[in-house]
Amino acid sequence: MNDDFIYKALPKIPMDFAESLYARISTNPVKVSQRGVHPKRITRRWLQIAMIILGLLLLVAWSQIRLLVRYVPIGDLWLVESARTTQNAPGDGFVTPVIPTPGQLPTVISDGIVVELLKINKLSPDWTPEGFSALEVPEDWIAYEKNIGMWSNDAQEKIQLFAVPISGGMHPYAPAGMYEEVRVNGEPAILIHGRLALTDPKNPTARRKWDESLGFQLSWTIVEAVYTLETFGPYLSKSDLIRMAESMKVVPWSQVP
Amino acid sequence: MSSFNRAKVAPIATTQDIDWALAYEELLPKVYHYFCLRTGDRLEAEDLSATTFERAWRDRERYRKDLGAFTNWLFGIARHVAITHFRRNRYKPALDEQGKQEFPRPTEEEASQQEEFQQLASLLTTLPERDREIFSLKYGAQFTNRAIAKNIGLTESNVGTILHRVVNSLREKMEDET
Repeated sequence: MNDDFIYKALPKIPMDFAESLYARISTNPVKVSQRGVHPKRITRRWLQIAMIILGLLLLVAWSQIRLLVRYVPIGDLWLVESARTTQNAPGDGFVTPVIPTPGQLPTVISDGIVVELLKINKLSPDWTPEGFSALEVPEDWIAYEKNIGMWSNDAQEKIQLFAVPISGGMHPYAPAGMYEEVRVNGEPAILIHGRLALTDPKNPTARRKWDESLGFQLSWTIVEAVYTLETFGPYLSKSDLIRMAESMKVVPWSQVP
Repeated sequence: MSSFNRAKVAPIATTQDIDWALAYEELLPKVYHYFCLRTGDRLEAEDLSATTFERAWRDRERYRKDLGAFTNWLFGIARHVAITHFRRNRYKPALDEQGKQEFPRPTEEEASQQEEFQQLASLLTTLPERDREIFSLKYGAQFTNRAIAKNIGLTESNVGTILHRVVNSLREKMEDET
């Protein structure tokens, strides 16, 4: 194939152009990174690594939180389910989402506040377990919840009724497997088996451990409040506790003696 | 003697080893001729050659030996520059319509050569885009048929056939005109 005419027609490269272009690019002060990678690429790579590490940290943090506690909806209630059956003593710097046991947070509330703000009603049972009679509830009850009823028998075994508002109040708390869903007057309710107890009864700052034998906590809702009946030992069956809850009637605070 | 002429001869190898002076000396004419044949205009060829080498110099650290030969890498940039150029100038009037270029008064030999190039460039405008690209890569960039086939996405025999047909056609037309 005779293609000499093509090469003959091709123009020669102008030397002044070639030299000026070479001078221009060879003196171009583009910074050369020592690693042989463009600086922008290095920044981008570090950014990618940082994002991956951050993602992993968030994943680990989320899984830890997810493993520690979860919220279980039961009817109108949210139960705080913990993966652990122990709890460090309060005030030792250990941050925990666990709900304190009754009587732990000191708040003095009057009946007026209870009615106006907390929407809590006084309840009175039509039926109480055999041998139990009502006790007078101390007026300045110090607690994070409002104690609205106490019953006791000759053996000094107690039943206590307290209430918290649904909105903003404390949630029932139990480790996994330590609670069950029951019905109170046909509505969903939570029955918790046992409670947290000090591992060393003489030391109030000792570590606490869940003890399944320490009675029941039965929580159900009426209007805007959560009511909880609790016992402190194995002296009452859960059917008796449910029967007592089902017999509760709302008493206006004005009629409370 | 200019720095361009003082370029030492060394084999083109890796990024670290590339002798830019040598690469420039060896490849600038090829790049320039590629653009001459692609555009049919010497000034545009100079501009596009300059753009190609400036871009190659700027991005020289991106070049890796395993990405292919340095020549292929450089012509990858050149072809991209050409595509961008044609895309931008798609709706611009041809250079002939804008007016004649002004060059220094050429010698008789230069005038003859320029005339031949103008004739060739004029004939190249009648070629289909793909054929002109193949032709430019062959006679401008000095690519082998195999390298062209790899770049264009045709078989080597296809490239050979196209080139044979195009060259014969051009030769006949140039002979007719003379």
